[in-house]
Amino acid sequence: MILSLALVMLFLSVFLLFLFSRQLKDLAQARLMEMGNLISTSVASGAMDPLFNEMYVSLAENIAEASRYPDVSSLSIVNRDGVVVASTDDSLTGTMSEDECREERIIHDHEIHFCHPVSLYGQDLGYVSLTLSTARMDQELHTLFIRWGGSMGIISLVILAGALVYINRLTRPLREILDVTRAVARGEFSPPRLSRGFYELDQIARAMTVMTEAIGEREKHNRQITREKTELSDYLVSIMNSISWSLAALDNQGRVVNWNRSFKDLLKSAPENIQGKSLENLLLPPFPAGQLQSAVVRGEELKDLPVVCHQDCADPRFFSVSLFPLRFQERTGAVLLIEDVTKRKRIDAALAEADKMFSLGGMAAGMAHEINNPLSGMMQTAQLIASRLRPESPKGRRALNSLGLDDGAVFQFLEDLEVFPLLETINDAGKRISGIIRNMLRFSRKSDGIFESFGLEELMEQSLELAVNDTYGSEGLWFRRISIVREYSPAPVVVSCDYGKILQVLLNILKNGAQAMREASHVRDGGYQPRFILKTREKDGRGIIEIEDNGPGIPEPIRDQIFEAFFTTKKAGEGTGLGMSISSAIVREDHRGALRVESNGASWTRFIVELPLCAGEDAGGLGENHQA
Amino acid sequence: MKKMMVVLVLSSLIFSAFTQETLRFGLFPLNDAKTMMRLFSPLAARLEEATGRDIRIYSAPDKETFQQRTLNNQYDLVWTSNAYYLDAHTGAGWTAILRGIPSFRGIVMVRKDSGIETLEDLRGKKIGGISAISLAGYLFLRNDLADLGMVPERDYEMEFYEMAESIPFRINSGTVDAGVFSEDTLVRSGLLAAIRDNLKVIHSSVAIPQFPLAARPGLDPGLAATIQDALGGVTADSSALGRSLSELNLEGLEAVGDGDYEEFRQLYLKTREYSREEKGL
Repeated sequence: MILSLALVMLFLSVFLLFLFSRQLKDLAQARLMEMGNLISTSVASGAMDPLFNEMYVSLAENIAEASRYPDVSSLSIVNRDGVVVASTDDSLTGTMSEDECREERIIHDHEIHFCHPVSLYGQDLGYVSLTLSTARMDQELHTLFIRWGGSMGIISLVILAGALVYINRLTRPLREILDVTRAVARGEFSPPRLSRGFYELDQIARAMTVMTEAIGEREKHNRQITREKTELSDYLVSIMNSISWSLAALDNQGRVVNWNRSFKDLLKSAPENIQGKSLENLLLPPFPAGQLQSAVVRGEELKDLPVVCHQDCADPRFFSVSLFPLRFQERTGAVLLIEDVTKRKRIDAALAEADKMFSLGGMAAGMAHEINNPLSGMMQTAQLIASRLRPESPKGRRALNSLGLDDGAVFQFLEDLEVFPLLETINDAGKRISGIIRNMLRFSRKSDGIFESFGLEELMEQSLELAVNDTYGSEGLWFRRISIVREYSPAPVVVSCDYGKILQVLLNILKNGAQAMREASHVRDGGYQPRFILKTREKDGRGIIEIEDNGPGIPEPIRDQIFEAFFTTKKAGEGTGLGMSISSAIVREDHRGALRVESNGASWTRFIVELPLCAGEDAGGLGENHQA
Repeated sequence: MKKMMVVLVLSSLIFSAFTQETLRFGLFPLNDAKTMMRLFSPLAARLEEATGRDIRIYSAPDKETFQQRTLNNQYDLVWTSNAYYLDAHTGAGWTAILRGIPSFRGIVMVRKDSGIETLEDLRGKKIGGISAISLAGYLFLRNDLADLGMVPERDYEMEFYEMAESIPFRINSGTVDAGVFSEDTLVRSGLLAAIRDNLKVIHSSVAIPQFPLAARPGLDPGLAATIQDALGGVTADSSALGRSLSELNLEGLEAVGDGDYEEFRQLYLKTREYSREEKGL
């Protein structure tokens, strides 16, 4: 643009120089001719009387005076007889033909010749012959053109520079306005304030600033609204996605127009395969797609349609399908709700199992109590037999004496028959049965929130005993094949806990470990020896129990999932998936402890139970109840 | 020689043709060229029309030069003063063929209550005149007073005023006792009517003719007669020539001969004689 402007300026300068040079030359020539006319007229006027009176002497003075004018090349006065009566050119003497003055003005290359007749009232008195030289005019024009050209060049440069400055100043507000417009177009509503310009531009700039601020405020408001809408929309989407139920919004023809993540996961389809598709195309049997489609069209409501899916899964999945008519402004449709109730079903089953177990536990407790009474009688009787058979028993001696038996021989006889060791065996077995029953009663007793102080070693051992006695058949045999490595703390570590719940935790870990090692034995060589390493210790004010098995380990991806409810790696029917979840809840929530798992994912798994120490209590406090 | 003769003959023929076709008309230098041309170009045009000749008007820077050119016959026709005509007629044979009308007289006026009745009463008086060379405005009175033995300075005092119209007012106001001027002065100025009744004429000159149009001696008499026929009787009407005549205070032109200037010749000669006497010549 600047180059174009410079070229235009240059072209204009050259054009003006050319145009004005011609005009100036014409003007100068016209001026010269005017001067020639003036001189010749003046001389002619002054020559009237001399020519009329034929008194030519005074004409010489007129000629001499007129010849002082610049550019006068020659000046002559000729009377009416054609005689040169006065002349600046001495060579012009005698007569002069009128032909030489036939034309009033003759322009030669460097001269302009004037012939001015002198006449009065139709009477010719003669004429004035004047020749002007154009040399001075040409020289001055030449000098003027050079100066003018130079001046035009300088002026053009000055004008160009001024124009650049002026244009820059003039267009700066426009450029700024353009920048602001572009900034606004880009969504920037806080552009720098526009600089002041000329009045109109200043008005535009002010208007632009006001408009930009207004747009900015409006845009800000709109963005706020949009953000709120987006947040609300995202919030609603998040709500929808956070719901485990599968939700889908349907139009009045049963086509899916919106859905949540669970619905997509349920269908296992890409969004583009869901959008606008009818239920009949999306839901496969056993989902009642046809029934739902018809209900949508009719605007009916369906609630809790049970659907059981056995397809592509070992475990059956249970769904509850509901359909609610939807009216939004002028549109109608429906909301489809598919709830995966499989977990609920499992919980119901687990609860039923637990209830059954609780009933069995109560029955076992009752049975243990009934067993304990005759067992006590049996043990007391065995002890009484052993006591009475001993020589020091007075009652035994009196009986032998009354029979006349040699008490020495009888006692020897009993010794020989190893009656006393047998009786002792009976008594020990009774004690053992009594201990088992006591543990069962403790374990099966409903938690009443009573915390007691127990040594970790005791808890561990009683858990082992429960585990051995809790398994039966091949499970029991397998458990007994597991070698137990005890690495208990030399010093007793006493914690405060709910005895039954902690035993439930430890028993669960042991049984899971035993089962895992049994499965590992199936894939390992025959030299595989299942093993538990049991450790107790104290660390940082906590009592720590470590139970490590040398089973197959737990893979990293599922290591954190084992504490989730209903997560199980066992075969169907072998576990509810609640054991570790409940154990974690018992340790963390009921005891403010921690339950962690470590594994190399291949050959060992270690469960770590951390329980708060019994503060201020020593081992002597074992068995003393305290309120949690 | 033969060639020279041919050239001379041809030159003579050319000169003759030039002289035949062009008439040089000389004008007594009364005014500048422009005024003279304005006043006399209509007359020249009428002369061209009448004669079929090209008329060129000339003048001279002064009276003496004009008279000398007249006497040298550098003009074919002249419009000149009465005195110069008489000298040219006497000295070179110029002939008067036309003159303007009417003739006029010089008059001497005094206040009616001045008690001056005759020229004798002018003795010791102060007289206002036009100029020392004005025939009607001084010289005729000087002649007549000289005839009575009265000479200026001694017997009367002369005061000249170039504006003739002022002289009657000076008489009326008593600045001068008497005044001498052309009688047509009273006609030209309407202002004089207010004081005319206070004044009276006590003396006048003979008729003084207007300037004559004279012909060069040797000019074709037929041409002169043609001019007289064409211009004699021309009056100051609305034509260009008539308007020029009015500006010259002429009512018309009349054909004249040299004899028509005899009365004036006497006046002129007396005047010249007294003038010489005054100058001691």
